[in-house]
Amino acid sequence: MGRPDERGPSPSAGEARGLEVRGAVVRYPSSRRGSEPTTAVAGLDLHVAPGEVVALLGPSGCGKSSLLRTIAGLEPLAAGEVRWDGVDVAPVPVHRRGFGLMFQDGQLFGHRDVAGNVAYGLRGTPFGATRATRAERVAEMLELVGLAGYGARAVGSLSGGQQQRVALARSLAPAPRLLLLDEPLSSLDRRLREELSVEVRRVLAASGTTALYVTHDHAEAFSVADRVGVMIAGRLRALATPDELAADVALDHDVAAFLR
Amino acid sequence: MRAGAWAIAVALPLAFLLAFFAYPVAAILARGVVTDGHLDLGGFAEVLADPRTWRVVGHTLGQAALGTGLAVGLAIPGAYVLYRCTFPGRALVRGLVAVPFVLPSVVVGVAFRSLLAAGGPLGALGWDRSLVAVVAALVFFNYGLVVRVVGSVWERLDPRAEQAARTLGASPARAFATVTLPALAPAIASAAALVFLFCATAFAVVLVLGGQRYATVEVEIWLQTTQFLDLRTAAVLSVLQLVIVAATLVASGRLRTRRERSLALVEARRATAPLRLGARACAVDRVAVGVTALTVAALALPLGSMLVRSLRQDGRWTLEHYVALGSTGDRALTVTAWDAAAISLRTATDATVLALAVGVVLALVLSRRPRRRTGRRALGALDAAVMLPLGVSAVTVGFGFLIALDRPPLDLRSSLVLIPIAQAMVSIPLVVRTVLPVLRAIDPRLRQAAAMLGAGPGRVLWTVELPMALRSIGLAAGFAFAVSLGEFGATSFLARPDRPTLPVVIYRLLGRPGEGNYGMALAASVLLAVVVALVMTTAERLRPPHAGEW
Amino acid sequence: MSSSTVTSTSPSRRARVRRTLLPTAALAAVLSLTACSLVGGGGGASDEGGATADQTSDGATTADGEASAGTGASPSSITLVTHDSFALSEDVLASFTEQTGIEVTVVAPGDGGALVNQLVLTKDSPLGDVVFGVDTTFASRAMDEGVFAPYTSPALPASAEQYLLGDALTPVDVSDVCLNVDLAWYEENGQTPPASLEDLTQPEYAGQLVVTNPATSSPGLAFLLTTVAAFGGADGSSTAGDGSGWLSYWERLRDNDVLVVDGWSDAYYVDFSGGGGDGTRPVVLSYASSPPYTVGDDGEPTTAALLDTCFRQVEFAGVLTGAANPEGAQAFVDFLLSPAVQADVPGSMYVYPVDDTVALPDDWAQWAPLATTPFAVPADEIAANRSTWIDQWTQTVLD
Repeated sequence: MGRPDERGPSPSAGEARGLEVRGAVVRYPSSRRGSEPTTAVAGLDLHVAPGEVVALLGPSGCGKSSLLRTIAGLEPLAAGEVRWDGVDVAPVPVHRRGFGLMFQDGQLFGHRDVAGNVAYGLRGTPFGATRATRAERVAEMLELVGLAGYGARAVGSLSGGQQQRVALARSLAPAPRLLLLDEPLSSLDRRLREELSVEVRRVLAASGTTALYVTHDHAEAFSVADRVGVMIAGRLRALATPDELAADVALDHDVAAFLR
Repeated sequence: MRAGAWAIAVALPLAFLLAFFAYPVAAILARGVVTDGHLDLGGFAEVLADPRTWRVVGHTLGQAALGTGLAVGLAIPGAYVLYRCTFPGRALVRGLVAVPFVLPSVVVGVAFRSLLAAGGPLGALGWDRSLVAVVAALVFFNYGLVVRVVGSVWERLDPRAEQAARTLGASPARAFATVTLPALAPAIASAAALVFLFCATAFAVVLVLGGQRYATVEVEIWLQTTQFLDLRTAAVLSVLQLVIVAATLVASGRLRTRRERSLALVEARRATAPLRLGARACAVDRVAVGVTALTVAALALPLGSMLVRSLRQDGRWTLEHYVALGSTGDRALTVTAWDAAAISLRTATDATVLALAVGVVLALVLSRRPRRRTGRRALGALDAAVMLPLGVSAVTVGFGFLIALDRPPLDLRSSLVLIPIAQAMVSIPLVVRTVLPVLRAIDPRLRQAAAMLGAGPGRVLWTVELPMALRSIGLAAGFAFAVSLGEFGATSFLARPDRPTLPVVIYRLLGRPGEGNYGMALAASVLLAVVVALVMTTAERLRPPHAGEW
Repeated sequence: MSSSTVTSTSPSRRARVRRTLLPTAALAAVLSLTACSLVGGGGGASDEGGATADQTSDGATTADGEASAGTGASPSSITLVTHDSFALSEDVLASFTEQTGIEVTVVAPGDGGALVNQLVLTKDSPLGDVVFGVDTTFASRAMDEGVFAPYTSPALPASAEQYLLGDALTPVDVSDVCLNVDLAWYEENGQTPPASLEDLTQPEYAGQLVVTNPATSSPGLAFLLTTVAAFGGADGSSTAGDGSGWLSYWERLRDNDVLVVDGWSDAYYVDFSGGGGDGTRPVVLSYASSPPYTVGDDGEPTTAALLDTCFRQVEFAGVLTGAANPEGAQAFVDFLLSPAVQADVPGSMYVYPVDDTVALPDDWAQWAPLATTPFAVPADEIAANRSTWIDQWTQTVLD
């Protein structure tokens, strides 16, 4: 379900295609009895068009990761809604949403080799039909991220940059209708980050993937995304193309301060 | 100097185990296979040719396998609910499931039979004196153990691995089977091995709930040793038991070494989430909560019936059995139950100190990784040997004490110190299994860093390793203490009537006629259960950041 | 209440504990707990030792431990080895030390069977000086193994002579293992209680009897011996009998749905309808002394013993071969036959004094008479056939 060929009912007339977030509120219960719950996302609207890559930029703790996890279905919405092609995804469990999520530290499965990791999400998709289609898709993905021939390697034997490439290949393999990337490069050093962000841009474009990309690194956001949003204290305070943001047009004080 | 220190660290606990375990066991086995100064292995041919022997071995393996399988199967959802989810009253439920593990089996036997016997509330099930009753009791005893072992790893397992699987399209069930289960496998293997050993050496519950029809190797050893003094047969059976135990240890050791791949662990607070049962909850959660609720209710049933009967006399509610704890019963006892409780606490304190002293040093030794292959092999053998006391019959050890420790400097047979020693013997394997994983998880670079800053090996131990292991040592202390409180097997052979422990008092009261004595026995059992629950809950609070596999 | 064994070993033990702990001195907190420990509490032990000495000078010592050695009391001491049901009132036991100056340490290494087997195992290095609690069913084996030194007590009462066994064992108390019936149950159900062994094989009493396993319980073995004595062996090995053999009696019991459980408490408290629980069986294997403990509000017991189904068990005392203090041991055997002990045993151990001149407690005299013609099997015959009989029984009843 949620695979390229079965993307649920078609949108009704007038509904936006792609990802639509309206008035999203995310709260975490208090860790101690008696204290107030924390509000991570405080009423946020966002639209990501099909094939578009949007980066969310913000200081740590601004709620951008929480928003991503909520869209993925890993956290419940306290208020508001998340729609895909006009359809509310709240009742759809995580694994049926057809959204992929790439974690900050990759979260590769240590007990599987590289190919095993990349193939994990193929079950139930056309790519997973036979051993041959699976192998073909894995090879294609590894080729895409520049790791051709690494299929039999243990993930523990890879460098940090290689591990994140595998994680990217793994997230892309099932061809998710939306890919969520949670600070995918922040654990890497600056040189590698710059190099990889260009590559991620290339890979996302090549696969035509709709993506929401969370980071706290300006350069990374500007190089990856079609549009960049700035999130501060649980709210989206700006959303524009990199050029517009760079031009510093009509930005409020906080956003300008953050971008400076 | 350094080599000398390690030699002492190896020699002292080893000497303790040799003197108080290996030597007595060897001595009693020798009585069985040496006739008139000659080695006589004829007993083996005889006993092994007897179909009854194989039936007994079959029962042992069958009951242990069923008990272990069921305990593990039920405890996995239990570990999830009690360690991965948060809900009000969680600490209470955790304390409750820990209680059965240390209740004396005589009490559990009577509590179970009160429920299952023809006139009992569950009599209609027809489970009295059946395999079902035996297996149910084995699960009752060991469920909490598995929940704890598996839960302590699970609550710190990084939830994002499973979430990664979910976002790749895996259903909750598939994510569990392909990501979480492999990560839990070593803990499950470790727990299963412990439970298998406890089940395979279960004695009183098998006799009381199943009867001689379901006799296990342990029951046969007890019969042959204490009732028939047929040491030849007992020796052969003990060797068979050792073979079963050794095979279990080897199998679990194999599985456990896979654990060497370190797990991505996070702080428990980050991995747990509030339990949700509303419309949004997924089916897997509902099943886990349902299974756990039913299991906990089933565990509470015998405990509840025990509590109810401790509050009744002549068909009315009363506290008089609890008042009677301050007396010596109907002259059934030499001391009051409160005195016995005090003796129990003091004995358990000694046993705990001993078990920690030996167990922690052993864990330190076992946590080293020698360069040489022979050294690693020796440590591997020591690792397995440490577990043996769990798998050898209390009767064999008890009778071994009598014939082995009868001469100076070890003339301790009628001495009170033998009781804490016997109890410590049971706790040492548990202490090692609790502390060792923490010590093994310490990054060797920390030690190297301390050494580079000029700390000698002793100071490294003192300032780096022990502080990091401290909380697990506290936890181990709680367990050793609780296990000592409940220990009855070896204690019953060594107890002095003027210094009975609480389980001994309970046993004596149950052996006397009169509803008063019976009620007092149950009141004393409730007292024991409450003390144990308190100790376990306290130990839970001492939970280390890198809790053991136990 | 510490004995000298403990006091003398505790300093070295403590030192050793300390040494072993040193590398793990993070446990200092735990070590401090030894202040309230059993063997580590040096201070506590000496306090208690002092208390014992005071009491000795007052002439009211507890009869425990040799801790007062060196405090001026007599250095003489003995160790009594007994089973885990042994009990005497504290003041009675203390009076022995008062009269003789001999301190008594009691060790109880298990039930009656375990006790005898341990004595046999340790005969070259005995566990103590004197033993109490060897019963009829185990006596022969112990004697054959030479566990006891010959001794005939001058205090032996006339009524005890019938129970004498060899030249080493002194009978101290007797008890009758009998079937007990729940009178209240029979009254409620309008049935006449069974009276004889044979009755229990009748269809109207089907499913009413619960007994214990002779392999695992002492009354169970006694009841097996009852049937051996009553019906004789099929091979003619035993005494009286009607020729049909005891095993065939058990076959009939089995066919009449007898329930076998493994211990007395289990049978009495779980399965017996008169034991205070929810049991459904109105006939249980217990003792002639059990009924007084079921006296209800109306002052009458709700249960009764069937005195035609009893096996008489005798408990013996003896001096152990190789005793360190044989004179003290002999004095203790004499003491067990003294009127004070004989009068104490019903209340403390639920057994009858071997001396019939000693008065029974009132409720016993009224509700718990001994059988007039109990069954018996000679001790040597029991020793010779014990395991065979138990095997045959197991095959007939359980398999």
